[in-house]
Amino acid sequence: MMHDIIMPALGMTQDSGRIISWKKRVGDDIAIGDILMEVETDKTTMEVEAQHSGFLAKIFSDEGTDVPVGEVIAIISDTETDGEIPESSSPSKPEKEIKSPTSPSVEAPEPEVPSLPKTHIIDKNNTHGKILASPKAKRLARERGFDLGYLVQLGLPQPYHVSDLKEFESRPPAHAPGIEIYVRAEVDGTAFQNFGELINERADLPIKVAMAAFAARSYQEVLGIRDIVVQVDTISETTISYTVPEFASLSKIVQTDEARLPDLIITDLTHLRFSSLKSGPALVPTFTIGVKGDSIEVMLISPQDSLDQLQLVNCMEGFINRLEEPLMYLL
Amino acid sequence: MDREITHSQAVNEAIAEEMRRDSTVILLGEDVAEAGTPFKVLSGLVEEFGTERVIDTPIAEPGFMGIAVGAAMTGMRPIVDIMFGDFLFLIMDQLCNQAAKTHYMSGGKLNVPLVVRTNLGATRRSAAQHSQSLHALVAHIPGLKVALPATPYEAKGLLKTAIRDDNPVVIFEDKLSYQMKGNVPEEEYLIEFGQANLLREGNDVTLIGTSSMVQTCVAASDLLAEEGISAEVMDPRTIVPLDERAILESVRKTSRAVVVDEGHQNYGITAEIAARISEKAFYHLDAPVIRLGAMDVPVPFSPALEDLTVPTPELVAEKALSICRGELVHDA
Repeated sequence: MMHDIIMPALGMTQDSGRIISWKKRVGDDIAIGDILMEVETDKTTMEVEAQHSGFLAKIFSDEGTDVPVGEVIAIISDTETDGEIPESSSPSKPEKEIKSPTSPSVEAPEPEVPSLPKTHIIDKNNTHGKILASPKAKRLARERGFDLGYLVQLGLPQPYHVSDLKEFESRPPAHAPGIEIYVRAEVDGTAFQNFGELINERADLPIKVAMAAFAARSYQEVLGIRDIVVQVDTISETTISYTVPEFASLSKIVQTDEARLPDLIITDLTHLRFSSLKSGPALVPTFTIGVKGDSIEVMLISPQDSLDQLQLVNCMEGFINRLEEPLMYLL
Repeated sequence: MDREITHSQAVNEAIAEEMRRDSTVILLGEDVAEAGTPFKVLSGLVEEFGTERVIDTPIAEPGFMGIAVGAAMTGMRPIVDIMFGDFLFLIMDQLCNQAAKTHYMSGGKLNVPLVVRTNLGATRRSAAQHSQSLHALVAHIPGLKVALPATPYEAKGLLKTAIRDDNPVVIFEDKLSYQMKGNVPEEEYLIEFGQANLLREGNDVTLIGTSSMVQTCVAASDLLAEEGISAEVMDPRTIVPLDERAILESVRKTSRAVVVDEGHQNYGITAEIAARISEKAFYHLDAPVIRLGAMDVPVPFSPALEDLTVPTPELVAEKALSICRGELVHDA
């Protein structure tokens, strides 16, 4: 909480007082009764005591200035502010303007009263690392799968209420982007190239199916999960999703139009002249596959909460092994 | 058919009707017969029912309260008039140790069907010993029911129910509202205990007011409407039993609550209701539950100071607005 210190009326007829000296500096610890400053009126010079304890957060009127009675000359805050009081804060002025001969006749814009919104008085040291939110806001966030940390990232003041949850509706991805991890590799592409031609000729399968199968198997091995949906995005063509059952032969991999978030995404750049692309936050583990000469360049990006570092590396390992020896898959 | 009568007329009618209906109903207390109480609530009763049933007692609350408890155990239905709520302190043993516990301690063999009629409310310039609102004291004692009528309609309906109840009931009238008029049907009616009255429907905050604070909450809801806040106003009518279901249902809808009562705030009715909300509707709360009771000081005699001790519509609206805006009411 902030307490304004005003120029006190020290005499019955006093209009203003001159600050002779400040006895405290900004940042000083103030106790009630401490001498803050010395003020000279038309009749006398008096010491002025603090009426609040706390820290001297800001001084608006320097030594030697003549200040009208009632004007805010400084602020005492309950907590150490570390200079948090914005520079733009200026004291509220009494209605009477004291015009010095040199002051221009242009009216200054109405100064804002130096008070901080009440929602800002959270002392971050007192939250024990918790995010402060109302019980209802926390419950709704949990039910809807919202991470309140997103609101912290946005810099919104705590505590959060139900009305703050509307921020989740306007955010771009389905959930707040977390930390992403990635791994990159370059492998000889000859075997996979031949394999692609083989399945195309013999089984009339596009090479995309092989990519989906290899990625899915590597992912299934690491996480031990069964049917997964792999989305293959070739940038220029329509995105296709495949359902890959566990231990499926290539012919069992079918296209799906299930409207759910895929488990894996493959960004296929093999027909383009560049080999890696990242166009937004990775919501699920994403393989980017590009061609560079005779080699294939593979990048696997994943949200850290989908794959940890070891899983990421193992998943990549499985995938590039299959690229190098694609026939092993058929066995 | 509805007609407008005052709060005192409503009380008077309730007693007269019950005394006509049931000859075991008697009325006793200070100045209840000749003077008809300082608030003139009981005028005319002694003329109709005689001094055998409308009994002026000496100024000795413990004595006549003891008489009433004995009479109730042995078949009468006494209505005890405690002139000022502040005098409850004088009858604590008879009320709390005897009347409240006799049914239990006699293994259900004895009933104590008595009513203590008294009042609450400050701002009548009556100083600290005649201005207290002490309903929390008796609400704390198991075995006592506590009714807090807020309108002439409630004053009559709740008092009649109290007289017919087989257990001790303490009913507090707001002494400032004795001259307040309100619609009261001519036909006989009773108001069931434990049924809250929803006065205003709203979506943003629930204002729960008792007795004198019901109208304060209604006025606050008008102020809030000007700020675009829609407040629900609820009057529990009886605090023992308390219509917890209705209160929780409302708070689950609005997510916010301000509880207003004229008893002292510390350890008071507001604290009890706020605690129940926090405990049982916790996951529906979007703001801390606010208590607004009378200031925790002896009620001052100075009018200027006395008026400051009681919650006002402005104060209720300010607190409600503050939680509706998500402001921190207390440091986190």
